[in-house]
Formats: sequence, structure tokens, C-alpha cells
Amino acid sequence: MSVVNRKIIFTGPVGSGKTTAIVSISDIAPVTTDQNASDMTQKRKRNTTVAMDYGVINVSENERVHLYGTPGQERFDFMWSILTKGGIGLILLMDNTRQDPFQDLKFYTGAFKEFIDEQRMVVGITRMDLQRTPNIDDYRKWLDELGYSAPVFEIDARSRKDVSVLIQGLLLSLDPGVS
Amino acid sequence: MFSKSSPRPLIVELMDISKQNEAILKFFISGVGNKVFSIGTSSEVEAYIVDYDFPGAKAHWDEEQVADKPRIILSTDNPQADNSVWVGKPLSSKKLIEAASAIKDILTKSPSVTSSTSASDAENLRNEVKPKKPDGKAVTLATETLVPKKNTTTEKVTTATLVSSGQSVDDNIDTVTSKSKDFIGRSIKSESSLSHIAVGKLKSEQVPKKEPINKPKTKEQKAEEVARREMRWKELCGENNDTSTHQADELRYVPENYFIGKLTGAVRLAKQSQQIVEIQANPYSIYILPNEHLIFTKLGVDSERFIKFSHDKIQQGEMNIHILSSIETGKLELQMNQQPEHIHSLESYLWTSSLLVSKGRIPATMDIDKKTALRYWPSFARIEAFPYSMRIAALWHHSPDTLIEMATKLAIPQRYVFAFYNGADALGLVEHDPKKVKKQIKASPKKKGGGLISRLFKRLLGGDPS
Repeated sequence: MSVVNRKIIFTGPVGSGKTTAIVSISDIAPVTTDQNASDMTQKRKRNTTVAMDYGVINVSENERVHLYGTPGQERFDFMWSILTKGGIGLILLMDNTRQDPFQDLKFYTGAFKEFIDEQRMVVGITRMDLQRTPNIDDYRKWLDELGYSAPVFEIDARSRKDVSVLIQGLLLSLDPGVS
Repeated sequence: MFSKSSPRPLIVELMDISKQNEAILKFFISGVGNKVFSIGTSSEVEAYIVDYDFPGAKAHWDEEQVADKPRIILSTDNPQADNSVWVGKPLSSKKLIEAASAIKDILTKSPSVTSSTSASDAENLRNEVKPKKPDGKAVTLATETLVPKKNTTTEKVTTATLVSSGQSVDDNIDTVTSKSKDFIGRSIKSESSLSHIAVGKLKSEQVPKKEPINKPKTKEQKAEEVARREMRWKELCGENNDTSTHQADELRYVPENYFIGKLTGAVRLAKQSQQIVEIQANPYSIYILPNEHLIFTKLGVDSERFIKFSHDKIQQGEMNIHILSSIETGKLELQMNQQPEHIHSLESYLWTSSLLVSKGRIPATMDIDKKTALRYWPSFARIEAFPYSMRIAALWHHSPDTLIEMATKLAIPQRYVFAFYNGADALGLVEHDPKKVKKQIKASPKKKGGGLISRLFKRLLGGDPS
């Protein structure tokens, strides 16, 4: 019996919760490639993901959805095109405490434009409990300005329920008739 | 594709680099970058690739003057090093390829460096080499890469810079504490003074708590939970059966007659004025903070008294709305710091308030046959979900429709669509003139999931019918 494999990609700036989100939802102990941050990144986060994070949701005996997180420091964009190949959608996590979330949004939607255009994206805003502005309306307007239409949810990457809602939003965006 | 006359790769050695980074760079060099770089032995190496963020690297290369060959320096900050090309992080394949070209320029133009690389090789690299995806397509990059400075005609070469314009290096060095603001948008320095802002149950410093998707429950627990949920859904969406006579009184209500009318009016005022607005609803006060999307009140939406409060018709002059003065704002800030348990998400508060009063009915003035559009999805992880709510959002966001048509298409009871309409309208997410909404309908994505998407969806719901 052949196994069906699909991918969902998690991306976003350093510290936005990609590793945590995958940990929250994965059925296996996720494979992370975090290492001690040796550069400026350590001001935001003690460890950072160098290569990628990996987790799995086992849908059935022969169906798996693989969850990949891009490296937090965005050091290796050639990994991105490899990661997204065959992916069913993108989950973009935005850290609301960062200096310029709009620039982050612009950067990541631009970097994954081809993939977003082909598939779908859902945006999760993290750390809103620490920093309330920009608010969710701001993100919606920014996406409009950038020419994207995607669900935007305030989430806590440590909450399985919240990450599940993100993935549900992605799946329903891909196919509004899914049930 | 590379022509037969493509230049030969630049022979490099990776120095002062972590094992992980080394592995990734080698992966790049063996794949996409194999026409540009090759890794050689010390005797044949033309340039070094050095990670200046690696502990000790900068001191090693700058202070000890070990560089006898040009370097490609990878780092977040420009080290201003001689005889080198700086590639600012984040790295991209495009920047690495251009760095190789710049190094070849250095090798060509510097008399002190022996190199077999010709000027035409460097030019060819710039002209012919483009980053490739594994499938051969050109990679679309958000970053705009600057061409390295080419005025390197002397032996002393200044550091060329390859910086992403999409995201500055400085973006990586901001900190939570220095950028944070208090409730009312003023900058504050202390992180600890922010910690109580948490609206949800989790705070960002807490350790993740992992729960299985289907946590085993006893039969009694399951039955209790189902009963509780169904009761709540009745409170939110009512119990009306589908009907074709949508003018019937039991299906209509006038929002302005209830608290929700005052609340949506106050939110509108707060957003327009960008000021904190108070609803005085004796004995309660409800404060709306538009920028932070917060509400501060002791009248929480989960309480029994709120259900009664939201159902009671209001009398003229019973509730007043006013914009807070600066003195009142200061007092409110103090109160919020002392009683963070009374801080609520604005979206969640509006949503639940609207649902509780409407109970699956529609506003009296709503034209049931008119198509409307959902401009944006509600923030589902922070609002009270009910059956089919996400499916309604997906369908309605996808294309404008009438409420009845949506219920028919989804084959669900109308009251759920009506409830969703009320919630979304209270949040200002409904566009009543669908022509104003940019066309959301894109070509359907290439279906890669098939039935798997449906099965994954069910799996995530874990038996939840929403």
C-alpha cells in the first residue's frame, strides 16, 4: 500500500513561533534543528532554527501531512523553494512584538509569492498578549495593500487548538466545500 | 540553463562555520550553486567563505590577519573588512551567486592574487547565472540584491555589501522590551509591566502544554461536554427552524434596541476618533480601546448576568457613550494594571454580544435576498465558535452570496448562517455592497490533497461538528 504524503509549510520571522506551533500539533516528537543563536538573533531568542523543523500529522494509516518550519533567521532561501515544492499551503506566523511587522509581512509574502499564488496562505499573529498593536485590523489592511486575501488569526503557538484553527483555516481556504 | 561556455566554479573553503551551517552551504553548493562554487583543498582554494557570526571568527580573521585570499563574509552586520565581500544575513542563493561574481572581480583585478579566472568569466557569471529552483524555474526573491561595488581596481579592496532591502539587518536586533507599548499605546521600557496584558489564558513565557488530539474522556464527561456545548450553541444561535417567511417577527430583531446597538456604535466612535470610549450602563462601565482591540469591563460575556443584560431592551437615555479625557485615561490605565482579569478581546466581546442578542435572528432592516460579502475572516482562535462557523466564513469569503443560498449550499440550518452574519456584521467584516469587494475568487489551487484535505480537516476537528 503506497503512502500519501503532503506538506504544510510554516514560515515567519525569528521567534514568531514556528518551532512551537509544530511541536503543538505534531503527532511525533518533532525534529528540530535549533542551535544556540550565535549572532544578533540571540537578542530575541536563545535558540534558533538553523535548518528546519519537522513534524507530522498522521491522517490515516497511509496518509501523512508533513509540517516543515523554515529556518528562523531566513539565512538560506534556497531551502525555501525546496521546502515548498509539493506543499498544499503556507502558514505565516507574525511576531507582533517585532519592530516593523508590516515589513515582515511584506518580506514573507514577497518571498513566498509564487507559492501563495499557487496554493493558499493563512496568517497567525503571535505574542499579541505582550503587544496589542498593531491590531488584527491593521494586518487585514496590510494584506489588502499587498494584494493578498488570507485569513488572519490571533494565535498562541503553544496552543494545539489555536494551531489546529490555523490549519483548518488553510484547508477551508483551499477548498471552501471541505467537510 | 548554463551554456557550454559557462565559467568554472569559484573554488572555496568554508571556514569558521558551525556544522549545521556548513551542511546547508554544502547542500547548496552541491545543488543549486554547483556551477558557481566548488569546495576545494587548501592548495587550490581561491577564496574563503567565513561566518563572522560564528564565535571567535571575527577576531580570528580581523585581528590575526590570517586572510591571504579574498573572503566572502557571512554576517548580520557589515564588518568593514578588507579584501572581502560581505553577504548580509539573511542569505539568499542570489546573494551568494553575486558574491562569487564579486570575488572573481577581485581576483581578476588584484595583481597580488593569482587567479585563473578571467574577467569574462566574472561577467558571464553575472549575466548567465541565475538562482534556480530544483525544478529549473527561476527563483522569485523578495529581496533586492545590490550589485557589489566594482571600483576595486587596487590591491586594497573595500567590502562590498549585499543587503536585503526587504528586511533590514536591524530588524533582527530589536527587542521586545524596547518596542513594547502600554495599553494606551505609550512606549514603556519594562517588559514586566506588560506581562499582565494577557487576554487569553496562556502567556508567552509559559511552557507549552501538549494535549493529545483525542484526549480520552469517560462517557459521562463526553455527554456532559456535549450537553454543555449544545446549550451554549442554543444561547448563541437560537433554536429556530428553517423557514421561507423571513419577515416573521420571531426571525427579526432591532439591534439598536439592545446593548449590542450601543456597543457597535461606541466601537465605531472609538475607531473613528482613535480615543478610548466608555459606555456607561449603570452599574457597569464598558471601556473600548480601539488601537489595542481591547475591552475593559467587569461585565464579562460568559456570565449569566451578561446573557440577561444583552437580552434586555434598553430605554432611551439608559446608556451613555463618552470619550475619555486624559485624566480618565490615566485612571483607567491604573485600573487595568490592577485588574487585568477584566480585560477582554474586543473582537471576542463584540462577537459573543452580538450572537447572544440575535440568537439566530436577522436584523429587521436586513434584505434577505440581497447578496453580501465577507471582507475578512473573523479571528477564529479568539472568538466563540459554533457549528459550521468556519465553513460559513470560507464559503462567504470566497464569493458574495445571500444568507439563504449559503445555508442551502452548505446544507446547514439557516440559524447558523444568520448567527454568523450578526457576529461578522458587528465586527465590521461584512461588505453590504459586494461590488466594493475585490474579487476573492482565484483559480482553485492545484488540488494536491484530494480527499486527504477532508480527512485532515475531520481529524483536526476531532469530532467537533463545526
